[in-house]
Amino acid sequence: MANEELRLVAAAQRGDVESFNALVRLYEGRVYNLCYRLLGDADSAADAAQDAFLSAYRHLHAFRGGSFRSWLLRIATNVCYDALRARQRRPVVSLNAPDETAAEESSSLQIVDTSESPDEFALRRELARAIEAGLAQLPLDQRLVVVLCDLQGLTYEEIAEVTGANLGTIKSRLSRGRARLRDLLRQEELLPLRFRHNEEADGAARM
Amino acid sequence: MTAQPQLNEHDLELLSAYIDGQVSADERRTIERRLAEEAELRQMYEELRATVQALRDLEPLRPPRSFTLDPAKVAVQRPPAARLGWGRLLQVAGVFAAVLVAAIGALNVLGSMGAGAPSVAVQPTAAPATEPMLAAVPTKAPTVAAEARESAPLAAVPTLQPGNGIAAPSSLDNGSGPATPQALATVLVTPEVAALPGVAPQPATAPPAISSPGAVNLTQPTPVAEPATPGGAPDLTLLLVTVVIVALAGGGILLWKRSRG
Repeated sequence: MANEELRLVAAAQRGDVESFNALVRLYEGRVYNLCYRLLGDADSAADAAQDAFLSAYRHLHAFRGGSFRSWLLRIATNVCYDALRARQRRPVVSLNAPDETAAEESSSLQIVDTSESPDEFALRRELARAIEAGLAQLPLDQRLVVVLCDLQGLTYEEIAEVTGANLGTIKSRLSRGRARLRDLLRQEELLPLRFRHNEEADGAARM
Repeated sequence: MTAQPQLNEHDLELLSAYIDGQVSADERRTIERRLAEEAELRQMYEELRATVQALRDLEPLRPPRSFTLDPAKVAVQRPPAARLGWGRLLQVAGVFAAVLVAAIGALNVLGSMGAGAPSVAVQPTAAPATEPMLAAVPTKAPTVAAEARESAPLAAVPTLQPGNGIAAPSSLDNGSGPATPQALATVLVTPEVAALPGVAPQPATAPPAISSPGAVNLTQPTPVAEPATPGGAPDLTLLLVTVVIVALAGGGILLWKRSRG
């Protein structure tokens, strides 16, 4: 896989657009999701993802090995930061209002898993909405790290490559972001019942 | 509902990193001992872990469209293999400018041949009258001569025809008298004429010269009266453009050298 990716990158660097498009197909879901989580609406995310791939293609000669995924996500992050800066100058869409319609349309939340009870499905859906709303409220630096780690599954080292921050900063941003989300889920009583039951049992034991 | 556990930043960071398996062996032992002993820490850990799980369970969104690039459009925009940077662009611009300078130089030469070619010998008396022109011209002359040699067969022939009519009379405009174009032409012509054997058979040059092809026509006197009629102002512009182009070419070569070193 890694070898195939390197081969595609090398071919794309020699000007083979089809090889680059193979890389696009490999990463477009990841890049679009990152853009969506950072920008909060589907149209801006699609534009940013397209810009990111175009920019990556134009700057392929600057890629000097290492993780292509991290390099690409770094470009996408920069594109999103530019879009957010432009939006600050000319505000159009509020970051606090994630595009729920688009999320529902494109998310597999619509697909009903037959092994799941209606209650479980409803809870999962509510939890997803709360998490999405909570993510949108996080400061951008925390949101980026949480998305890269928990949604995209990157290692701390890869996150450092994408963000340019050191490991200590990443750990700090991640813990603060997660703690804020946990506060939010707790407020909405959306933490899984198991923990609330444990906590009530602990409380009863203390009394 | 119990009170929300509040931990200091350090404990929070440790718990968060512990969830990801990003702690040292010592830290792990300490955390696990404390988790067994401290209910508040344990509760925070469980809640954080549930939060992380909820994040990981979040379904990825499907992109609304494909982001693949159109090979036709992208190939025109920039082939990555060519690595066309500013340095490269300036190199190309430099070469282009050099060719242009050669063409303009040749144009001037032939223009002045048409006007005052016979005065091959330098006339020092005319120098004071053409101070501004001469100040600019000698710096260019060697470049022009050198480059014209290379590009004369290509550049000189096709560009001369329209240029002849412009260059010869316009050089008069900037001078102060009829002697000026001759002096200027002389400075330009002297080093170049010998280097341009194919110059003479130009159909657009002074018609009398055609009868004797080759370098012969250089020695053949032609009427000087013609350039005395003011033809227009483009020569100063032409020279200015030449200076700018030479500067561009120089800058391009400099940048190219710097990028190599």
